[in-house]
Amino acid sequence: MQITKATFYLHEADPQIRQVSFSNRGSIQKVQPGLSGLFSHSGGMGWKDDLQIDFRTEAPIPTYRLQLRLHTDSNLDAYTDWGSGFSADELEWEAKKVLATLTPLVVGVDVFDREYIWQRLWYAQRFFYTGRQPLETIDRMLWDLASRHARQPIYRLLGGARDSVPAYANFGGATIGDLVAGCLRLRDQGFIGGKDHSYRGVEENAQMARELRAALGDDFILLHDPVESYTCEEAIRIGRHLEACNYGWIEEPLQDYDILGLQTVCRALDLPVLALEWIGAIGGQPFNAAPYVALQATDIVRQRGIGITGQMKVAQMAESMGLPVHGGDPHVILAIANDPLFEAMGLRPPPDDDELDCRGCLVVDQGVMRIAWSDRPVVEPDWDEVGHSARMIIE
Amino acid sequence: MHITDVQSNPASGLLRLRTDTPHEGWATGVTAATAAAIDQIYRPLLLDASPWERERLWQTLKREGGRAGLPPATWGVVDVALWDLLGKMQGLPVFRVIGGFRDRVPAYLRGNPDIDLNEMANQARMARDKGFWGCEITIGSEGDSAALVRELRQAVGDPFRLLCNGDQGLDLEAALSLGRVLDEIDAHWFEEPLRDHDVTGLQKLSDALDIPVMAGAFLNGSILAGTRALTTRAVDRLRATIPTTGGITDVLKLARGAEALGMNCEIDWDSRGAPHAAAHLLGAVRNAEFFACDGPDDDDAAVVESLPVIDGELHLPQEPGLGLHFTDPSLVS
Repeated sequence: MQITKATFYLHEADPQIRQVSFSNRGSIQKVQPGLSGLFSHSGGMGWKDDLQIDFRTEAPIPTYRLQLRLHTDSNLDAYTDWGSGFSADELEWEAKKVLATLTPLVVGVDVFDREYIWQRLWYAQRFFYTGRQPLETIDRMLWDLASRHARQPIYRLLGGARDSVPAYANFGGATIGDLVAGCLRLRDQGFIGGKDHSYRGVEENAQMARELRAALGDDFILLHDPVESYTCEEAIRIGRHLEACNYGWIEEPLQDYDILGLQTVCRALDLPVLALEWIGAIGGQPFNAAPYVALQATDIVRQRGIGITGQMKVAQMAESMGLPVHGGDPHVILAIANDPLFEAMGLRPPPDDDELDCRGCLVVDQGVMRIAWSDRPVVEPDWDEVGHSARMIIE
Repeated sequence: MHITDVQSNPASGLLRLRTDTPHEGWATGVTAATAAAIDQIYRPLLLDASPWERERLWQTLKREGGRAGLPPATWGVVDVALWDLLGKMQGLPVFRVIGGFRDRVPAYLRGNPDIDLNEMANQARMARDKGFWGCEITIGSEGDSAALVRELRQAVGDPFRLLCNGDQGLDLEAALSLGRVLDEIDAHWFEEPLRDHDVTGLQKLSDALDIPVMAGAFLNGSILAGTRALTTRAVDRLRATIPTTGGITDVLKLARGAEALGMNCEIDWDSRGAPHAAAHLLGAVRNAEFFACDGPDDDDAAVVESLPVIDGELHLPQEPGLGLHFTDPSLVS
């Protein structure tokens, strides 16, 4: 089954207000200056409650959506949403750039030759400086096509390892009291564990850990994520407190670039250290993750592989070297045995059975993640209708 | 869909998985010991299981097989049969079920080891003239191996690859001394110079020699030990043999580990079975160089037709599953 042609459809989408504001900078403001030395500044960089920065359009403005279709010589095509934005011109030229640089690398290739396409687009990242998104998107399109072809969800095509995985969720709060209340809510929702994102330094975070363990009891899984806000020495000190409170792991104690520091923390602590979310986001996995594993600079590999194929490479690399991974696509997680916990972004109740098809649908309830699916085929797009309704066809 | 029967036949070396559909999974190279292990340990784990849960089955078979003291080849052949079945269920050749990288693979001739210098030289020239990318020469611990490889280089000329196999028969001193000569004649690699478990000796040899040292097919607990041999640079390339090292799943994981470390996992096959599983894996990974092709004399008693190697390239079967064709149809009925 060969890929014969690539087409982009540029669609008009719902108008939206465009906005950026100070609070969108992420969570750096939560890191108090001077605590770890990483974020201190003589001028007092830090959160100011009275700081108001808010850029926004007065009214909703038009938005656009780009859809990629890879035609095949069979009755099934690969397709996906490629991107969206406020500028039709920019999306049009994005499509033209992809058609001029990347899709010629896949047209003429068998849709099941995913490894060839993954390897080609991996190196295309270097030659065209594409970033990870094109490979991520095209690999997923091909797995989605394989799923519709076999009428099985992707995790079973990968070789199902299990049907469900225990789930935990994240919690936060302005005070330790808020954090404890947030974690208790997770337990009430059925989650088997919770992970903070707390940047209070060693002493306060140790206090938090003790209060959480006291409130949640012995069986609840507690995980600590300081988001790279410790020094190496602090990480070892907090690690001992967390071990005393029977924590499951410490996540990103140091910045991922500090490979020798991570090695020191891993060697010192019994508590598993989870790393590589940030450096993995750049796209070097599995290749830059493997040396961390070999040097024992992480105990759990944050899953950041590119596409389903890349995530399987990361999981199998870690398994081949005796380590677990954490995170990534639910289908990949269900297809491997070395990822014990699922990080849920809230509850996802199951849909009605008549809404299910062979692609499957993520469900998070009763403390587990699973994929609900049926063997019903996916309703394929009417490409004539898609073409008629598109604002522009680019090919 | 589920597995309804597991039949192994040590006389033909065949394993057959039957399902409640017309699809069946087959594997070759089943010895009497493996057949006994399948019947006693694996059969109950396979019956009523869904082949779509291949990874769960692999984890279970490996765990139970390991507990029973069984070698990787025992669950390996079952895993191969499962992949054959999954390919047929999807209407795809196995290399495309994994995710295809190529449908032709460069091949070298895995020659007859028990021949004299003249025959070896003839064999290498024949391989070269037939378009093979190289020819294997197997070195014993007896005789003047250094003189032999020099003369072989002379006989075949410079650019042709000579792949040297020590068959785990040398000690470190002999391997180092021969290895210097292999460097000199620019041999392509030095396979299994020492016993596979001598990782310290292998590391010393890998450090000392310029040509790649390749080993690892016989490491028990093969995946973890194999990647350890790579991270410590005890070997320059990992050798994985189906089913000695395990099944398609085992070797795929090893190959992915090696790929992440920027290294090659060279995949070959035990001649007691058919080459199909190794061939499909070679079609699905980037970091393996050659298909090991047996000479024409080796096919006499084969229960499965050999794979086409044309102008030095293996052409992968495009039909669903492994593409096994049985020489005697009565075996399949």
